[in-house]
Amino acid sequence: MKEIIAGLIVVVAIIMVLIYNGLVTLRNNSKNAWAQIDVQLKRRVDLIPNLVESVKGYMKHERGTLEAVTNARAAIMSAKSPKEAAKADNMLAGALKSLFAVAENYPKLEASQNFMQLQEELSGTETKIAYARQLYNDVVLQYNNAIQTIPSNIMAALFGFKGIEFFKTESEAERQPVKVKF
Amino acid sequence: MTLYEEIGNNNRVTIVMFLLYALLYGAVVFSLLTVLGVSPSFPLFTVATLATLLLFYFIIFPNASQAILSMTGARELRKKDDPYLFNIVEALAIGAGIPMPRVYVIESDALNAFATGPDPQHSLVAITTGLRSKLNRLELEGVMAHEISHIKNYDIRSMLVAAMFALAIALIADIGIRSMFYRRRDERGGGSAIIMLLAVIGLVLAPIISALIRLAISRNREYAADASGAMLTRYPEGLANALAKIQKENEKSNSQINGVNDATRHLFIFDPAKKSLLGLFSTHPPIESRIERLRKM
Repeated sequence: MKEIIAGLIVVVAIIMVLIYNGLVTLRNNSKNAWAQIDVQLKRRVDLIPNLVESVKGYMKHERGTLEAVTNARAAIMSAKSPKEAAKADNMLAGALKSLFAVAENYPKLEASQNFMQLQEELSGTETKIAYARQLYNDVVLQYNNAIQTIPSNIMAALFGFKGIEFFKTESEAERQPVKVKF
Repeated sequence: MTLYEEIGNNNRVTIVMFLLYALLYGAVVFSLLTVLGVSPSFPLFTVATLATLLLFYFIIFPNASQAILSMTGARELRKKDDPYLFNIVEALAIGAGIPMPRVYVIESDALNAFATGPDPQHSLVAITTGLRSKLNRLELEGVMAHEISHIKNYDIRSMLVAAMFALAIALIADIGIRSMFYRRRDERGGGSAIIMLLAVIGLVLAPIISALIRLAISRNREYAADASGAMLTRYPEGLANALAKIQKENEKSNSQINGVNDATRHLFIFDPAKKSLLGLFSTHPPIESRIERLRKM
């Protein structure tokens, strides 16, 4: 009889260790996924100076548009909280949109190799940011499921694993459908 | 079926099939024992089989990608050669949470693509110039997402394990049948004639059944990669449209890709071998079914 109880205790202990390790892994995956988004965001910010340089020569009379882009980049680099960073991010997205819209009035610019490459780079980076956010949400979903379902929720409560928030779009403007007018 | 249900279902089917394979392996070994009488050299034989399989798995498999690349004449793509495609693959790898695979290009008018590699850290995707030029962004994303899903799901390794099972079963069945002819000379307990007969039939049929199971696993993993790819892009229509285009084009033309043989057929997104007879012998499910499943997600 004693052996059976001892055996059961060992089995339960092993299960507890496995669950704990699983939770740690999922939580670290979530942290890693968040950091990966930052990698792409930084890439986008790093592309800006090149973009502004290559465009300045052609768009001599569009100082306002160019300044908006440069200011947005500065705002991102000096943001002190996630909320500030998100706001600055929106600023940059808006400023870039205006820049590319205005660039359509300058066919020579549009045709230049440099500009086209940068456009592709920026567009590629936007896609990567989106995928990085998607992965983050996928991974966070796995973690949140783990800490809420039985039996891992017991271990989670015992060791203080807390839920993580999904990435959501901040601005109401992004929730509106996009109108395309030619 | 919804996307989530598709993925779960495909994984369950794969497990069932590998269990079938394990059962078949056990049956073949049992048949061999019956035909031989329990031979004292059986443990030695098992060790030898396992040793060759392990050799294959740990030494040959990791280097197989290079062989496939030279067979197909693929050349590696740098980012500056095709930033558009490169960015697509990089973005999908980020979404899948795997390191970015190397990208290769095959000069061919045939529309096809494949992925290979022992694990996500050492993998690559390849696409023909024909396919690259015919697809738009959403369709390219769909195709690449399918390939990246193969890598992420370790499908290449699963298919290798299945091939190893097949090899082992074929070897054992072969030895069993050969030893049968030698045994006719000495009479060794003819009591269980029926069992003997079953064992013989088992040995003869085993390689065929093994091939059927392996092809069924391959088709199942194709469906699974379609579903996982659709999950990644959240847009099943992209791959559905790409498959429709591939089917139409490949029906018209007869372009070939170098290096396509039975060992590499299953890696491609569209079965490059034109001579698929019955449904049971093809490595890929029929295109119409794949498109239908995608459009129902």
